[in-house]
Amino acid sequence: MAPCHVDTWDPKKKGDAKAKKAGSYYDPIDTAIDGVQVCEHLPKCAGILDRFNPIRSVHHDVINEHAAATYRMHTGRATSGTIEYPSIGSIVADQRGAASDNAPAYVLIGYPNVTRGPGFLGAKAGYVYLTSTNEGPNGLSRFPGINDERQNRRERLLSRVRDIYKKRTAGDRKIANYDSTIEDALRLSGPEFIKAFELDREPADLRARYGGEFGQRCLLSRRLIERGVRFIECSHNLNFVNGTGWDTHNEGQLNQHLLIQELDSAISTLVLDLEEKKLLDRTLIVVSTEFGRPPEFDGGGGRGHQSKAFSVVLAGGGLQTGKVIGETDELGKSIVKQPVSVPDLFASIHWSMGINPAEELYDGDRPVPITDGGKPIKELFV
Amino acid sequence: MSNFYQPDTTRRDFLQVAGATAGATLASSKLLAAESEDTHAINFPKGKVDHCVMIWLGGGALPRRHMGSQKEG
Repeated sequence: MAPCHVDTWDPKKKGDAKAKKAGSYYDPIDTAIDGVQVCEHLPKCAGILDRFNPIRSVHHDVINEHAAATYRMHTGRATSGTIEYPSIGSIVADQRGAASDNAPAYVLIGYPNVTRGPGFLGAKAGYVYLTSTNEGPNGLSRFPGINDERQNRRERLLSRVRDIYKKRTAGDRKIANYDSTIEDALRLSGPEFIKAFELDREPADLRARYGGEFGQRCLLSRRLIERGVRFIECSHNLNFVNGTGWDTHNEGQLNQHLLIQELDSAISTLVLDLEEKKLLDRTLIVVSTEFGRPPEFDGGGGRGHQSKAFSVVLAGGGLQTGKVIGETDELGKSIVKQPVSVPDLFASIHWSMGINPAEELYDGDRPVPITDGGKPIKELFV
Repeated sequence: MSNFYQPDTTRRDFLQVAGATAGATLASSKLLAAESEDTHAINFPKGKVDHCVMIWLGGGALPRRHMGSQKEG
């Protein structure tokens, strides 16, 4: 991953950063799946790995550019000069909509950018986003002091301005689409949806088990699911924890374990919390990234990039969990069994959500299949 | 094929050959399409999941370098 797969979900023989001996940075531990190990900093996930499907053989061909690889792992496609492809979140939003009238279909907890966006599907398939669990969703949270009466006055004024513009641009699909999105946003800024962000309503011990800011994002994800949000991207890129986030070149490697430990607490608690609330079979968790990292160490003792073999982990989702998909060689450099392409990974996610990955969407008159020939991984379903 | 260029080929001969060729082509393309459909068919049931949480472990540029924020994305 941006996290190194051999330091997390696909451990190998231990290496030595100082001696530049390739291999894992940490010791492996056993898991709830017989014969399957993960790194020592994932003990909580290890204990419940039978609820997971580690896929150890994801691959693509973008190595050196994070942005292009991030685009690939959000849209399933290479960047294009002619088509702005929709993200997987936007496709799910387009195909399934929200599960409730009082929630948006797609929420992004993290920084917004075009990679996560709706592309040619238009604003209706876009996301509501927030960058901090303390502040709530950008553009939806009312400023302090704006009471219902004042809010209503504002909405009436805005409505008149919108009506004038709509008349002037009658027939423009993009404007109509955008206007409809404003309507949704105004509805969502009401108290019903905003309650989802009141994390202090949760028991203190549960909040503590989820952990720091990333854990609170995972807790918020569960609360958003309960309110009917269909797709949530929950970003874990805690740069300030180890100075580099998951991009562990050079000295970034030294404190990578802090990130892994935070990930372990948050994901394991999310899985168990969803399970307790009977939501795990109805919720697919995907732990994804733009690429992996090689088993070799760089000049500063960290790791470079590797996209020809890395791990993506699924959990819950009513899948046939407890199976590992794919296998890498003794160092984790190459795939030796069941390669999983990005279109196949995306097809599996779509298929789990009842979406046909071969269905065609339309960029104007141009048909564009949901995935680029992807086929779901059969072992996940039968 | 050579029949088409013989001076004694009748209009009836031409239509017979052309008709048979078109029929064979049509049958063959239907066969190929069926085979292709079969190859791409997914022969196990769709899932019934209602929600998806994608945890993103990004390793790209630091937001604080590029977006002027101390908060993580």
